[in-house]
Amino acid sequence: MLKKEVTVKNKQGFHLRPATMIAKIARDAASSVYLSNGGIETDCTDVLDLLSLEAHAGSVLLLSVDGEDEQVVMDSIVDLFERRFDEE
Amino acid sequence: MAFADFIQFDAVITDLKAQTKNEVIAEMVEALVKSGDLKQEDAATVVEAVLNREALGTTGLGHGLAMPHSKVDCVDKVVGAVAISQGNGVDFDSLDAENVNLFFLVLSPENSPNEHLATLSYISSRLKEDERALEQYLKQCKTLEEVRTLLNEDDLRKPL
Repeated sequence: MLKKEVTVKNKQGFHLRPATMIAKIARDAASSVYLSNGGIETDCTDVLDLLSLEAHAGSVLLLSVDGEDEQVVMDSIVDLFERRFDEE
Repeated sequence: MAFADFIQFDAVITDLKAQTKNEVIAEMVEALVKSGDLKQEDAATVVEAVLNREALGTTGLGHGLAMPHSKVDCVDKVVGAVAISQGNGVDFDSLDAENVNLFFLVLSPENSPNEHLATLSYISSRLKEDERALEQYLKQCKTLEEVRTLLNEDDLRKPL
């Protein structure tokens, strides 16, 4: 299993579009993917679950990936956060 | 936060006539015009804004639920509407490729990212509670009063 903290850098926060982008990666992954905010863990394949995190700009989330393609999936999602989900 | 803070109950639709994504959004916006929550002269702009947001990526979240939304400059507080499509639902290009029966439209003031996100997150957290029980009950509603009762009860039930 891989774990890494990621920061919500985009001004709009972690809203529906970023959540959808992550869900697409998680659904295609051969690994289980979770994001946590303040101890609340959500399944990244479920956009509703992800949205309920209410992660505003500046929030630090914990990304956990466990499975056969965990490194590739981790790198893809970390990259999305770094790119601010291509919003700015 | 509570559903009563932003859901405009006079704009609730329990028998959506729309057959396409564009028609859904137009019908829900028109309902907000008829309820007095939007001005007629702003309707086209709002529909365009919501469709532009859809073009960036579908708000069809799967499990027969969609949350079309946008920030618009013609509202000064969050305005929400609920619509239910009976029967087979509407193709909304959802993540799971399933049709949508339950729609939450959210319109937020421009430059209000925190309020906008908080509202979307609130809807999500309430709908997913108890294995998505509220979502399932809403889909079965046939009248405005049933929707109002469900959401009001949920507002009373959640922890303060």
